[in-house]
Amino acid sequence: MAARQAASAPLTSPAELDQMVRRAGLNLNAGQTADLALAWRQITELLSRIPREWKLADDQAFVFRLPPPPAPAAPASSAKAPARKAAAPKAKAPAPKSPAPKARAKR
Amino acid sequence: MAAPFLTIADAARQIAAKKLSPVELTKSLLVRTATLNPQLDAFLLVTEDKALAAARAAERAIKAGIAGRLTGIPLAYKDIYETAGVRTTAHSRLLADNVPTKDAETIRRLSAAGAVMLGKLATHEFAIGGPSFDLPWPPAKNPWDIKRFTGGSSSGSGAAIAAGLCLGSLGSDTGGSIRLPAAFCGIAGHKPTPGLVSRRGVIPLAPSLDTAGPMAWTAEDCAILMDTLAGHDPEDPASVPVPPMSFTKDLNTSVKGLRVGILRHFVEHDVPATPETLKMFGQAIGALKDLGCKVADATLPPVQDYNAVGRLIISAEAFAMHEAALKTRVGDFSRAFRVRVLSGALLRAADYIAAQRQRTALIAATNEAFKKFDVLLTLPTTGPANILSEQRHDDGFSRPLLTTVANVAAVPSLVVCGGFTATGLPLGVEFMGPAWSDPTLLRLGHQFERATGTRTKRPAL
Repeated sequence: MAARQAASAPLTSPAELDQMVRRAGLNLNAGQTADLALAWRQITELLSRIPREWKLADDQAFVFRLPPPPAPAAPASSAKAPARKAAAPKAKAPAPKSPAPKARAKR
Repeated sequence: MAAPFLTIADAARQIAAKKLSPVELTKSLLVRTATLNPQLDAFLLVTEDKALAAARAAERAIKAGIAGRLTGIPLAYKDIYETAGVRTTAHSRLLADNVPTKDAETIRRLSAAGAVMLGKLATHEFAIGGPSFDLPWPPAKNPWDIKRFTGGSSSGSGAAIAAGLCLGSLGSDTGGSIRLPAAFCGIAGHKPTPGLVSRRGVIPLAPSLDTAGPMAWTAEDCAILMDTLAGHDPEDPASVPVPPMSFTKDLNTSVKGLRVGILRHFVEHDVPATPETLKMFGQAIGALKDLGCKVADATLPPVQDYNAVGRLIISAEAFAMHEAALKTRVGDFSRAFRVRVLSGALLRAADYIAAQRQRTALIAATNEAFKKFDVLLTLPTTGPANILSEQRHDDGFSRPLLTTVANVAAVPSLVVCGGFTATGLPLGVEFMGPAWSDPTLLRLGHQFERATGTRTKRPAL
């Protein structure tokens, strides 16, 4: 793992903390606010261990991964090949003059 | 009356041989629970009628010759697993009257396999806020010394299994919640590879780290449970369609030649363990050598790096899960929950994303170590269980948790009992492996348990 620069722990004043709590939509009493102040001090220490200087190219899609595309249909077995050949002309009928590109273009 | 201290493997053998009746076994455990739960507080709810009905159904299945290995095996579940028609509280006053209409997928699988549900077990509030004394139900107590902490958050599971109130359980593990109670209560706890066991119907804490898994007296019992629990669930978006695997087939295959890396710096430097615990760690390494494993020191990034990432992700995601209730009913949560979760409200999106980026780097660093080793050995805790009333609410924030490494690294992990302190308290060891190596971890854990002989000692209750 490449060494990266971690930020130093920022200090938060009581007034700043009150503002952050209000902005978060919380309604805390004095005891709850005091507990949060202590917890937030510990959280800022943890934040100081997280590197912030990343190369943009390192920012891969970490959020989700698409499933693989569906597997292709199984190839026809050799025993049934003649019957499929006989049916082939239907499949090879001239395709309609693809409306799809127009439809896509409209979208 | 059936003996209460049976493993799942023993009970299954006796039931299959028609030497043990599921109804008698269930009755004996219900009696034992009625006697001991008032001191242990492991159960939040005992579902006696349902248990006896399931045990009778198991007996009918056995007579009909359609029984499997879990038919008639009495289990109990952490109260964050949804159970149809049975109250599921997450040990929180907010869900005191919550009665789900569907079983969690894991519960459905175990019930379909014939397991008997004895009831619902204590946890920390929403699998994070505890141990708490300001909730409608007290925290579970450690059967080895009821003044001591069980570890959490699957606290009732650890206590109930160690005390012989049930033969196995389901826990959940976001930063160590299966493995910490396994260590402190002297049992086995398996955090599977993410995506191997469905989490559908398990009340979430931090979805990018949450894992569901088994807890039992032995690694072998965890493997038996995994044979039923593992499998793709298309309705859990994190579930992975891996080919079926057996967790029990190779339990007795030799581990000779297995490359085991020792994460000595974790427990000697990063988060130093007590001398007594380090002595047990040395003995555990010796036992692995005796089993024929190739042992050498291994290095990962510091525990503190994994712990910081884990705690930040948990705080942010747990706050997001509970934001609406925290804005309107903050006083209804336990103080421990508020201390651990409210700070997530103040984190910025950039902080959360930076933590996720760092997680990706730590996963890569961990996988690099698995090019040299099949398994990594560490400790889950730095010592035995603390006194319950002295347990701090800010563990993991002020002091790093060794167990969080496996959650952040997205690898499977197994804790088994490695020995005991001079005062008789259990000490655990932790095995980690690369993704999908769960059968190897359970095999090593099983053989380690047999080699060290720790499974013969039970708490004196």
